[in-house]
Amino acid sequence: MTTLSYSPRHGLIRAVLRLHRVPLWVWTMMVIAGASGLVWLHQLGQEPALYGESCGATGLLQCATELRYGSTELRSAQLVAWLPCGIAACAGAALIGRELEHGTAALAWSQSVSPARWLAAKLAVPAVALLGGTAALTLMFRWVWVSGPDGGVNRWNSEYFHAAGSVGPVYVLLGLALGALAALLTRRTLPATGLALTGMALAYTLGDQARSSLWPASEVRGPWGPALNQVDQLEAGMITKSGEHVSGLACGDQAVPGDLAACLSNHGAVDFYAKVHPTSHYWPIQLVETGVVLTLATAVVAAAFWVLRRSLP
Amino acid sequence: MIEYRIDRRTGVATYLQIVQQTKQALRLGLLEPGDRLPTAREVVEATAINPNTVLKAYRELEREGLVEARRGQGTFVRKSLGAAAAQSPLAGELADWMRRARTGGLAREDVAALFNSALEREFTEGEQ
Amino acid sequence: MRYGRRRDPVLRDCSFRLPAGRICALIGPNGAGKSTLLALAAGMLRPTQGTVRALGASPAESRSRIGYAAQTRPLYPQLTVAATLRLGAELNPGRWDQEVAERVAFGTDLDPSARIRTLSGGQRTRVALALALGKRAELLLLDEPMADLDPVARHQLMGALLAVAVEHGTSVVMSSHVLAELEGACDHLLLLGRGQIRLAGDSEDVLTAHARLTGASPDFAPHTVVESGTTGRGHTALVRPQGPVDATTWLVEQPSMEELILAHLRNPGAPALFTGSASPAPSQEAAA
Repeated sequence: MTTLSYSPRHGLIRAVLRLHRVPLWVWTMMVIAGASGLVWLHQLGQEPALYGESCGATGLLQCATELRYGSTELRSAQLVAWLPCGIAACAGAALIGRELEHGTAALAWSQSVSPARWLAAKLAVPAVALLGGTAALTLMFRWVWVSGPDGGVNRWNSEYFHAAGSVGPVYVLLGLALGALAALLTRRTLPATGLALTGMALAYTLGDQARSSLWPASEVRGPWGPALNQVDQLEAGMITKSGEHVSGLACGDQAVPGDLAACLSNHGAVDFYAKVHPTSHYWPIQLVETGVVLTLATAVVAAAFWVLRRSLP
Repeated sequence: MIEYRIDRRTGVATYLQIVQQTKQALRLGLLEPGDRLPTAREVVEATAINPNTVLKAYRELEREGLVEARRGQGTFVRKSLGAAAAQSPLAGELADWMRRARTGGLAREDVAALFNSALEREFTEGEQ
Repeated sequence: MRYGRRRDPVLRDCSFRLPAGRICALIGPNGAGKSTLLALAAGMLRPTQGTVRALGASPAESRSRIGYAAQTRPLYPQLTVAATLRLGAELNPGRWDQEVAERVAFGTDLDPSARIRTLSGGQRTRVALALALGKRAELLLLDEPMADLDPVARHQLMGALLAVAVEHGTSVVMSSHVLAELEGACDHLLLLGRGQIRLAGDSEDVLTAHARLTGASPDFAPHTVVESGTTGRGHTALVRPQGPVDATTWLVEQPSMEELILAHLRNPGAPALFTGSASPAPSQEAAA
């Protein structure tokens, strides 16, 4: 009689790794492909001809390269920001939903693995893989973006905010958790995937909406300047003589453009103001949003365990 | 080692089939004192019958003093059955009688009927 | 081992005990609740009401000591047979018997490197049973274990199963809607009809607790009548004798197990029978 001994935890993890070998390979390949693409983009960004003034002055070739870089950078940002989240939502829904749909989850539970431990392992393995891959891509994108030519991109743009900050990887975790919860609720792969993707889109939209409120905004006075292109604008308007802030007042319809003093007095105002998040608020907001999303993901995971426990002893 | 053949359609209780086949083997000299009977595990693996049935049969054989269970070693034959009968003059006499019956024109069925009725008369107590 | 549960509508008021070390046949027509009962005992379902206890604890606590093969034979289609057994080894640390598992899974002609998705129904059954048996469980719950096996495999697997049981003192519960499939192998009977226990106990005790009476009178008192009818001018009934049976008025016969089961399933009004060891004793905790 032979007894093969494995330590319980490692055995389960190894089993999950072997079961999901193919998706893990596909994900690894995608990360490698993404990283190679970013390295290529970095080289494109390092071509000396790219820098601003040359465009237009020396001919169309360089200008085309710069345009190409700018749009590729935006596409990369969108891919890094959105794709891993979508993949995570689908992975959570498919890896768990398929097992419930085909009854193979019962195979693990009828061995010496409790349903809770099974779910923990089924979440931990893809979580580590997705988190690692996305973090690597995020770091690489940040490196490409920071070292590349300044195309005047606002760092607060949703794609860039996700692709180059700490919130990117945690949204991936949220996607995985939502997928798992949807799978446990529906016990079907396809509806769970739809539900998880919808939930993910909702979380994304809510995040974009609520981001500015995560940190107290600063107020700047004075007329519009180019520096304001690089900040997160919440509102802009004029300050009246009584000191009241009236949002939305602007000088766009001025008869004599540029005569700001006349514009101000026409509106009965004394100065312009704008509520913004300056660059110094970038990392605080990244970290606060990271914390919020992480808490949300934890709550969703807890809900998933609760749903599992409700149906099983 | 003896192999049991279990026939579920005979209506004979399974444990009795084991008891009878063991005795048959003892009578025919297929098993002799000191031989080991198959373990319950070996029997159920080969015949797919309930283990308790095997144990019940072995207990029955033990009760009749034919076998003994030796702790941790298995069940062993203690004494043989009817080996004497097969070699006694009675066997010869019966064979002789059969020959005469056949030459006298009796069919197989007639002989069986005569034999069975005599058997019934002499062993009415249902002795095993 | 003791189960007690109420569950609508699949199982209702099912309380019984199964003494340890028995090979139990769980018999019942399709839809009687056999699979539900086994899944509850294996900790795959939570009872809507009531409690289930297996091996003296809740099924969840006994999980590592219970082997279970579901009727649907869930297996990962992408794994090979060998990898599936390796999965069993990894998920049952310290309890796995590779030799038994291989003997059950491979049988005569199964290729270890074959993928599960390429296997026939019978071969899948072998692998599913190998996972349950390799676990070296104290209680085996097997849902329709012999259903899609050929006669040779059936005989061989039943033998292997009983050999494991006798070696480790394992209690086994096997379900089937065909008694003949299990009759020789089991010494304990559990008859389930419409979600309720109809008969429970040692096979022989259950059998000897019944008699078929044939006679002139339609009055079978004081015996409990399970099923009665007329034969020619006389009357016949399957009864549970209460006290001695008057052999001068009745022709007394011993019914077969098959007759007994059919009579109970045809007459749901007949009271359930629990012979000695099987009756649920609320005051007594399971000792399995």
